[in-house]
Amino acid sequence: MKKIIFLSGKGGTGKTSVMSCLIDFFNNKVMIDCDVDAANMHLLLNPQNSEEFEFFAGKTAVIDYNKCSTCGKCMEVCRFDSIKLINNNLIKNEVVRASSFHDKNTKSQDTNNLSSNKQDACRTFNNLNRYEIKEFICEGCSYCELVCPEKAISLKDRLAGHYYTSDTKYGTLVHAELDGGVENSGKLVSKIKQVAQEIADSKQNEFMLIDGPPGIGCPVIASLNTVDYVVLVTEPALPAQSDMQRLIKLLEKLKIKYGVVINKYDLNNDYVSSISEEFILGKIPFIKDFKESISQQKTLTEFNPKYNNTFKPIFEKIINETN
Amino acid sequence: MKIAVASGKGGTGKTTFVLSLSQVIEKNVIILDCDVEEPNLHLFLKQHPLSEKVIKIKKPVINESLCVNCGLCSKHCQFNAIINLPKYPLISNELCHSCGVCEFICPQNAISEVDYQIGKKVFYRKTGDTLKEISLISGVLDIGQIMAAPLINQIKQDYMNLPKNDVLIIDSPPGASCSMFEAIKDMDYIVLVTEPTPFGLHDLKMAVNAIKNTDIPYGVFINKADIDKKEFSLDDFCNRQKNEDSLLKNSLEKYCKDNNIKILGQLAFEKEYAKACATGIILSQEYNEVFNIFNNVYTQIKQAIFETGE
Repeated sequence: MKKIIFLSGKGGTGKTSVMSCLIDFFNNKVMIDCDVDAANMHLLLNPQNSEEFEFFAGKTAVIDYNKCSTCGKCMEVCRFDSIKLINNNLIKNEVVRASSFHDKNTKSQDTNNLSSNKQDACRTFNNLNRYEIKEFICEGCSYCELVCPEKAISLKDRLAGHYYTSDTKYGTLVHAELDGGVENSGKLVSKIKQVAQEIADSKQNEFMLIDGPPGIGCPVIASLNTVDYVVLVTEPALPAQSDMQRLIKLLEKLKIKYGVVINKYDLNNDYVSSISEEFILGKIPFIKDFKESISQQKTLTEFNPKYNNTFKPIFEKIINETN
Repeated sequence: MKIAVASGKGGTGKTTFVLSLSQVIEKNVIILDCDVEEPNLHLFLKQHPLSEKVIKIKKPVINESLCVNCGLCSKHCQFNAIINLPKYPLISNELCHSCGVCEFICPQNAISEVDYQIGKKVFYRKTGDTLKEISLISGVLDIGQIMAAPLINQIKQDYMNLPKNDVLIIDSPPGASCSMFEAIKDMDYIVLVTEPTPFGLHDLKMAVNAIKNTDIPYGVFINKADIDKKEFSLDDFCNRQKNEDSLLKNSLEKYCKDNNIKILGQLAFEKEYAKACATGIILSQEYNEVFNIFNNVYTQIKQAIFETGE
C-alpha cells in the first residue's frame, strides 16, 4: 500500500481542497484527516454511518478536598503552572451575598432554615481557601500526587477527543476531533493512523490518502510516520514559501520523497519560486469556484467535472513518483 | 495591554491582522511571533535581526555510575519517555515533558536535569515614520523538535509584566490544541481571525471551545469577506442580517450572533490585497481604507478590555 500525505507548512494554502480534487482518481483507498485540531475534510465528503469512538490520552490530577490540608506543596512542584491558589476573598463575598439572598427568600416560609444556610455558607467558605487544578493546563505528570503529604491527589484518565470512521462515496474516511485546548494532538494522529491502517489491511486498500496538519511540529511528525510520499501544497507568497522551506528541511531529515503543487499561482505572477522544476507536480490557478463548492460542501471536481482536467496531470505525476 | 491573535484554521490571516493592527496603535508595540513552527512576521518587517538567544528547557540525564536500574523512573513517567533496558533506562527527549518526576523519585539521585535546546528567539526592531517603535520577538522551533508549547511559554515569560501603556500583540499558532492555548493564556483580549467558509466556521467553533474556559474576552475578525465595498458599516450588516436571516443559516455571522460573539470587523477579499501580502506589504500601511478598519478594531478592543477591567 502507498501512503500519500498532503502538507504545506503554512495553513490555508489548500491542502484539503487540493486533496479533495485528487481523491477520485485513486482506486481502492482509505482516507484520513490528520488535522485533528481543525479537521475539515469531512465537511466536503458527506460522511455516512459514522461510528464514534472516545479518545483517552494522558491523565489529569484531581484534589480530594476532604483530605487536602492546603499545604501548597503541589503548587510548588508543578512545572506547568496548572495549580493556582484561589483568591478566597473574592469568593467569600460571593458566598456571603448568595447566602444572604437565600435567607431573604426563605425567611417568611421557614425560620429554621436560616441558621443552616449560614452554616453551609461558613463550611463552604472554609473549604474555599484552596488550591485548584486547571484541568486544561495540567499535563498529568503525577508530581503533585507524589509530593502530597495527605495523599489527597489522584490521577484520572482524561477524555481528550473523539474519532470517527465513516463511509463516503470515495471510500472510508477516518477523522477526529480533539477537544479544545488539550495536548496530545500527536497521539490522536497516531491513533487514527493506526485505525486507518487496520481498515486498509482488512480491505486490502492500495492507497492511504492523508490530509495533514499545518506546521512542522508534533502532529506533523506523527502524521509523517511510515508515509511514502508527500505532496506539498504551497502558494506564490513569501510566508508560504518560507514555511515550506522549513518543512522541506524536515522531510530531508526524515528522508521522505516529496513533490510540490503551487496553488493560486496566478495571484502573484511575478513570484519566482525557489523550487526547482523537477519537484513541481503542477500549478493551479486561483479558482473562484473553490469557495462556492466548499459552501455547497462538495469537492470542486464534483461541483464541476471540468476541473478534472486541471488535476489529472497532477495525479499522474504523483503515481509516477511513487512507483 | 496584551492582545492575542489566533484562529482555528490556518491561513485565515493572523499574521496580516497582527501587522495591520500594529500600524494603527499610537504607542510602542511589542509583537511576539508565537507561531514557532512557522514564524512569518519577520518577513514583513524586512529588518535584519538584532540578536538571537537559544531557548533551552530542562531534560533529565541518568548518571550511569549511580543508577541501580530499579525501574522507578520508568514506572512513574506518565509520558512513557523512559524505557527499561537490561542495563540502564533510556530517556527519550522527544517524549519527555520536563515535569521533573523522575529526578524527584530516583532513590539514588542518579538523575539530574541539563539544558536542552529546542529553538531560539530572534529580536528585530523597526522604527516607523513616526517616533513609535515596533519590536518583534520571533520564536523559532528547531526543525525536528516537537515541543512547541514550552518554547512559546519561554518566549512569553519576559513580557508578561509590561508597563501599563505598552501594547503587546501575540501571533498565535493555528489550531485549537496545546500550543495555541499556551499562546493565548494570560492575555487581556483574544482576536479570532476567520473566513466566511464552512471550513472557517467549523474551525472557529473549535477555537471558541478551546478559549471559552479562560474567561478572556474575545471577538471575531472576518477576513476574505464576500463584500463588495471596501468599507464596511455595521448598520448595513445588521440590516442585511434581518432580511436574510433564513439565508444566513449556519453562516458565520449567524453563529456569532447566536453565541453573542462580537464581530470586530471585516476585510473584503481583494486580489490586490492577496498580492500585496504575498510580496510582503503591510496592508494598513498601504491602503487607507484598511487603516480605518483596523483603527476601528483597535478602538473596540480597547473598549472591551476597559469594560472587563471594571
